[in-house]
Amino acid sequence: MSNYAQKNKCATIASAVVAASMLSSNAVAFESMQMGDWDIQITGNINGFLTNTECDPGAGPVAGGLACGSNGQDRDLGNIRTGLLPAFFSFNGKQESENLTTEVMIGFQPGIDGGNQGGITGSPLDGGLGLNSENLRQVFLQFGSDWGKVKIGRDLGLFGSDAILSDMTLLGVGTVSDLTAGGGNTSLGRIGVGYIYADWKGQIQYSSPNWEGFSFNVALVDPWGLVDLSGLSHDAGSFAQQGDTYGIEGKVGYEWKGDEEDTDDLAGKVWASFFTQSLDSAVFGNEDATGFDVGAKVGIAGFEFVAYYYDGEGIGTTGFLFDGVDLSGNARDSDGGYLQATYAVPGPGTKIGVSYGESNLDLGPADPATSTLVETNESIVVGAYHPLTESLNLVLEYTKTEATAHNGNKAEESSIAIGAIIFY
Amino acid sequence: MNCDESRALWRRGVFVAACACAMSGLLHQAAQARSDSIVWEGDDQSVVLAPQDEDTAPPNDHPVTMAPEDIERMLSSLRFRHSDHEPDTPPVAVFTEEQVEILGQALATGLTRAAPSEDVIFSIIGAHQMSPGAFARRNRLTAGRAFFRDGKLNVIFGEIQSPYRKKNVYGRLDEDFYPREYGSRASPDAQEAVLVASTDMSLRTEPQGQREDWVVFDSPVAGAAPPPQADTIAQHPQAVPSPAEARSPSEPPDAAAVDNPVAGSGDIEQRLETLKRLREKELISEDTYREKVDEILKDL
Repeated sequence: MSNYAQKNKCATIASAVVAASMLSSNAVAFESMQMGDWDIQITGNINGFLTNTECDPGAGPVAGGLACGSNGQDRDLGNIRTGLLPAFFSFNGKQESENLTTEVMIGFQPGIDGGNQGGITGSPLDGGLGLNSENLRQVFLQFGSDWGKVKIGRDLGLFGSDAILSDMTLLGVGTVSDLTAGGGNTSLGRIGVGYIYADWKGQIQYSSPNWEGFSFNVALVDPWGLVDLSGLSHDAGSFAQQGDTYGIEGKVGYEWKGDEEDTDDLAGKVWASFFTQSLDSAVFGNEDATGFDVGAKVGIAGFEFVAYYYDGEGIGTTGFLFDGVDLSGNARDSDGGYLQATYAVPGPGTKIGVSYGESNLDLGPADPATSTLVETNESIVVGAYHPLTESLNLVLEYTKTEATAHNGNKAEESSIAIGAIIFY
Repeated sequence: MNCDESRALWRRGVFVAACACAMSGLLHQAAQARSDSIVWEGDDQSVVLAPQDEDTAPPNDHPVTMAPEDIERMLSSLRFRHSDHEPDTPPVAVFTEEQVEILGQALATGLTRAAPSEDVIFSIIGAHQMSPGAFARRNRLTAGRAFFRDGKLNVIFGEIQSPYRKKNVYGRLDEDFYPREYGSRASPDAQEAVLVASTDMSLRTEPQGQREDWVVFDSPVAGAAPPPQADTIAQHPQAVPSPAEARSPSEPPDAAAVDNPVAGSGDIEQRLETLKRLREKELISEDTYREKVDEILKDL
């Protein structure tokens, strides 16, 4: 055997040994370490899915619809892509002194498929020398003590955060949509089909101490701009939106953990949150974007149930302030929610889940009754999430999404996804 | 949005928030029982009272009074070895000095409050050196359950210096990477770390063999010291030790304290009298009595 072949063989064997050891439940690649005064953790996940999606456009377009085919294109799509949860690579450091705990967190979130154009939405057909997408979603510092914590930086917003964190499609794919049909950084999951995306926001947030399960958070949030997803709304530019109005978000919650050893003991959380921001325009006058939500998650004997509802004006649908204002500058009403039930099978630990959710966007005063603006985005998801190890999950999901316009146009998407997610 | 619409929206919001608060209040009452079971809480660590892990377990001899110093001495003496290490690998201490101090107080308090049908379960995190003299330390989790029965303090370990990690889910580090195990009276799960018996304690023996996760201490007289006050636990600093304060796991505790059956006892005559009292009250077995007498007489 030649030297090259020998080295290649050795490298192959070494790689196999490393891979086998990584799959062992005893393998611990990233431990929480203490170096000097700092506790250091490197954490994250990588996930990948094969998705096959059928897009049925129906009779006409649905402006702002999330079922793929809403843009009028009848097509089938195939992707090897990231799911709802972007890959995370995060560095977290914590230092405790006598009176203060300080913490830093920074992370970036690459996606598998950015398509030939790269970027967050990707392209259905990859091309040579195409780059995958990556985000820098999280960078913040935090300090606190017995009186609570203050966070300054960019992190997940408060309004809608528990909705997405409780969503079972966080481990899967959910809705693909025309928006992320090409793969891109992530899929939509249940974003816009049961909740508004909490998004990652520059903020100064105060978190209270935990009083026997009760806690609250309040944040001053970077001014957020209107987005026109449907083509029938104002965006920040056309609205002449002023950039000096901060948003305010708040959340109150109660969580109880039950008996840690007794899975038959009831455990869960309830929460309510709000968001408000003035939308000031030198042309259209001032509007307010205001929203409320309430949710509950309870688990007992392997079952877990989630119920969530939100309501608002000017907050739009899908993403924050997406299609929140009509072409006359009036705020549109929107609401939605989702119900979810999962069950973890004893023994293998496979979690089987089903969920239904919808998001509704009302016409504004200036919208015609025959508008193609989306009225409802709704979906039903059935999924199985099987833990091969504590770190690695295999996932199989089916999602049926429908988008209905105010004029009756309807688009339907059927998507099946199979893949894996590993936490480290 | 006009004023009427704005007021309507705020009324809806207040109603929703009020419903959430009302629901929280009802659930808070249900959770009050858990609050009463908490003996000590630190940063992601706790000592709590919990029901025995088996419905058929015989009732514990609770409540019982044990001196924190005695429990600290017992915990300091514990040694373990990783199950994949050679048997002649030197065992290392299970707990750091700061962990011993915290658990000594907390377990003593918990044992005075526990009902016969309850165990005192604990999970505690410590920074342990990766190797002697190493700058970096690994944060490791030790968890188990303690109970007093037949005149002996029993501790069953579910975790011994297991890796402590949080799972990153969408940027949140709220979830344990591995579910915490608190040990069980039933057959143990596969252990990555096993306890090593010493003269001051024994590993429980069962028909199928010795339990390498279950230690039984020959306890000093229960009731010999008053219970610690609950507020001394609440005032204790958070338990994740700083490297400056954490003790190297390779440094053994005071050997005299381990061998002396009664903390702070003086001469040999006093020690023999103490052993005799323990035997008369059947708080130690005949075999243990004879073994300890032999040890003391060797000092003559």
